[in-house]
Amino acid sequence: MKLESLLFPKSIAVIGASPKRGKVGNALLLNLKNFQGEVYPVNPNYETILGMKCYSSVIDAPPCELAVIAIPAPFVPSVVEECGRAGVKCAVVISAGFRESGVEGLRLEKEVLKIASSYGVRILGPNCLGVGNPRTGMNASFSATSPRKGNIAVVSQSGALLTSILDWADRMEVGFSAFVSLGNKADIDEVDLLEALVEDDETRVIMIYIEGVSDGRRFLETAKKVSAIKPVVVLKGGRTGAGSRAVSSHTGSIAGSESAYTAAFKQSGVIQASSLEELFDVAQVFAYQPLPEGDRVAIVTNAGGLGILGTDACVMKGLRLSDFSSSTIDELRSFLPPSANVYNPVDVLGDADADVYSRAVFTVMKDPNVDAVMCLTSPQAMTDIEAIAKMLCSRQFSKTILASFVGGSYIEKGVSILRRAGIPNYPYPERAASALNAMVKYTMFKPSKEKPERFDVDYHKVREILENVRKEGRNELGLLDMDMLSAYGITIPKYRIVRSAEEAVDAASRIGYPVVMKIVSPQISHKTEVGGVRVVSDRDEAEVVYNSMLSSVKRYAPDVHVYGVMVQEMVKGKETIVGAVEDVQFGKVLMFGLGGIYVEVLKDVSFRISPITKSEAMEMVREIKTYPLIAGVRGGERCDVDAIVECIQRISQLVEEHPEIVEFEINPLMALQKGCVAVDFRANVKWDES
Amino acid sequence: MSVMLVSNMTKSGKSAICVGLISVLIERGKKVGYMKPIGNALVEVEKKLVDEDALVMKGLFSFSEPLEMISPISYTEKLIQSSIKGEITNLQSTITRAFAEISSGKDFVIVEGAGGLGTGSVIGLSNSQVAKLLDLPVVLVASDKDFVEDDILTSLSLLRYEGIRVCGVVVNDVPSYRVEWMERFLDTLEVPMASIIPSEPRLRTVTVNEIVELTGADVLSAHHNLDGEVGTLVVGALDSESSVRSFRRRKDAVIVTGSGRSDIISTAIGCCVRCVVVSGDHPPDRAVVSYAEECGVPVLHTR
Repeated sequence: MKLESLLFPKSIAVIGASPKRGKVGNALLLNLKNFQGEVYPVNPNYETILGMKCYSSVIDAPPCELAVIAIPAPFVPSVVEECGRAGVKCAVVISAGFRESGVEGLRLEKEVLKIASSYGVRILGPNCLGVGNPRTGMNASFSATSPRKGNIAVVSQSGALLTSILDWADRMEVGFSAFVSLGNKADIDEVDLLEALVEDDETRVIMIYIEGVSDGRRFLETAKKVSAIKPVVVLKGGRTGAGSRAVSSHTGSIAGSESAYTAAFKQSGVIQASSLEELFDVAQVFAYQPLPEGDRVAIVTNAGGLGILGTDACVMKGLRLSDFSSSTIDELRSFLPPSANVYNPVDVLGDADADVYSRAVFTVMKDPNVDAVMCLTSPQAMTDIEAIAKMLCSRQFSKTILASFVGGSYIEKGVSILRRAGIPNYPYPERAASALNAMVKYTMFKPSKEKPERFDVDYHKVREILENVRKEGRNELGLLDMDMLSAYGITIPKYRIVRSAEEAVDAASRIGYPVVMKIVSPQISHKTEVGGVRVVSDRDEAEVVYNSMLSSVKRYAPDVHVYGVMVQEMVKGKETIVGAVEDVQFGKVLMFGLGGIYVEVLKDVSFRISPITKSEAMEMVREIKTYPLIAGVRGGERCDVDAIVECIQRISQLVEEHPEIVEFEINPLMALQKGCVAVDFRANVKWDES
Repeated sequence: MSVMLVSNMTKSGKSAICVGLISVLIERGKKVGYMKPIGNALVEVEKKLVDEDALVMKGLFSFSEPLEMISPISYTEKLIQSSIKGEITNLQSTITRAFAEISSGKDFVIVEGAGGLGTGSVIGLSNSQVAKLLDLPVVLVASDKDFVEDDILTSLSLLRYEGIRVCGVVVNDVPSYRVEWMERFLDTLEVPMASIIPSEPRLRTVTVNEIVELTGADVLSAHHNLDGEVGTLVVGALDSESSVRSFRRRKDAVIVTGSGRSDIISTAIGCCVRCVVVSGDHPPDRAVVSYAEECGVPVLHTR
């Protein structure tokens, strides 16, 4: 197993161990008192600590696998050196005062890393809470709570948040297979832990809190593989503008683009929690319940109102209410009072006893049209909460079961019975629906072996164009470089770039009226705003427009270089936009949307991390809300969706093969009944410094 | 032999061309002098008004003549007023005397006109009048602006009308797409020498170091990386997601933002901008500075 010495060490040295209460080095030793392996305190100032023999350095101590370091930062490099010499495999650096504290700290962190890698020592942290594995009694952290055994592994970029998670879990009687605080992620990061925890059979679900990933592509690849085996639930901090500012202040790094993260999570099958509450809710259901086979939910309730709210919540989350088979309905009728509702949601009525309630649950559970059951219970005077809970826990089900006992003190006892039996209870039906939906989405995600297609393209033509751009000292590309698109098999209209009115008239008559005339200047990104785009229907107009366009552009943008005017074949279709931007964490992110107001005002766009497969490109097109407008609705014309999908794939290939393109946009890409045509385009390149 | 550089309007690039000419001539082993008879770009040095071009040239080429000889007339408001009141005489002889001294023992003297062609007219010393006084042929320097062709033709007729010999025309700062057209135009002029200096945007840039010197900012990170040239300036008050685009679109950008905007600063660093200038009483978060150091992006803090 990867990182075995971090998660399953047989011996631990605590460097900076202390007998003084309130010191980290003391808390670490106390937290390790139940550890089933050896613990060696290291501190040159003491002979013994807490009754244990204390060593003056890790070199003097017996050989050990893991070292936990809690000493001032400036001394850490030399101690890590000693760890290396002593054959320690992994060091957890609790100490702060590294990268997070400024340039000097960064230097120390680099030094630690350099020494560690020269000895092959892996580093967790620095500036972290520590690590634990309740199965071996290991709690090599300074958390206030020692968590119980379980099958959730939790990884957190924030150590303090991890202490809250551990304390919450203690109250909820939820256990962990492992808990890890990442700290500054100088070496070990979330991806290393995903790789390790996927191999740990006790871990059924991995929950992660991150503020940013170290290497987006590697995260995407690994998360995809891990998700195919077990669920990964991620809460990403810093999703709003102000939140991302807080992330940068906290870690110094970039919170990253929300759309890129959402795309990466979708593509890798990672379940994205939108809040800490949802992270807990979702992790619990994965930890204790079998996966549903589909999205059909049966609701059983003793309260009509709860049944209705539960139904609404399920449907709003995207789940379906099962249609019961007739045998289920017959059976429910046979024992429920006549005024009870035997259709989904099943209302057993307020006076139902535990027997009737649980029999209804067992009945719907058997129905082949049911994938999961949600039990919604309210505390009426006739309701024996404890008995209902006990009855529900009396059987093992192969289908998912969740409960929402809604109330306060009266339901408390029932909830704790459910909890111990591994039936997650949610205080509100909406949260139960949300957790169940996460499970369904996970089940639906089918990791595919599909690879991005490679099209036969003219790679060298694009290299040539880019080299020219570089020679001219430009970093903007536009109409002038349109041939780049056709080199990658993207259809462009007939065009000619002209430098006089006569040439314009000549070009227009060859192309055939009406034509579109556009100013050619890569520096102007909004041509229409400076009077740089006109539809021209005859010869006289062409001449006038040529001259007026040049003078209008001069007036609005006096400092830009104008290369001429493009006379372009007129193409009418549905305007779409396909683009790509270089994301700092994930590399190229592709974008698709319907042109005009749909993108600008409604932000109706979809994103995926490049390179993408055909199915992913197809998902991108189908995902936008305005997809019916492309697919043809109410007699509207259906556009060639396959052509758009192929165009997105070709752009993915283009931006991947030419890494200097950092921004790219075809706007509009005219979707036609047959094919699609790139009518306008702009891009930005960033040259490596040479 | 001497020549005078004049231009249709100020800021056309005369001084830069003078530097070029002088350098080339010196390289060829010639003894060269420089003179700017009318000092119109006045700066104060040691409580005296001197012409900035003269100051720069003297500094660059270590001319032995004093500044008041290189640029003998300071073109001040007071001089203009005195001239209108008829109180001024001897300006011509001051110039001819200085020119004679500078010329002695030299193979070439490069004389730079002040401002545009008309500058100095009010004191009877327009560019043409100076050229005539010193009996110099002129080279007309024009910067490629809108309708520069009209300006060149007008300037040429004026010079010719005044009996000045025009030995050349230089069009400066011509964008690459205009070069061909400009060459065709120059062919029609019938001057012995006509040439083009193409645009080079890099000539307009400053380095990060110069920003540090100019603003007196504290360099917080990447001290080894201050030689980079700055292309554009972006003031960042956007959110970090949209700022990525504007940082990327600009070449070698300097980002100016508040020291509290960790999101903008770290985004800029991630986009490998040339440098980040932050303002505010307090320096930015230390974690951000570490990130800048790691990526080699200088962060400059100004108060």
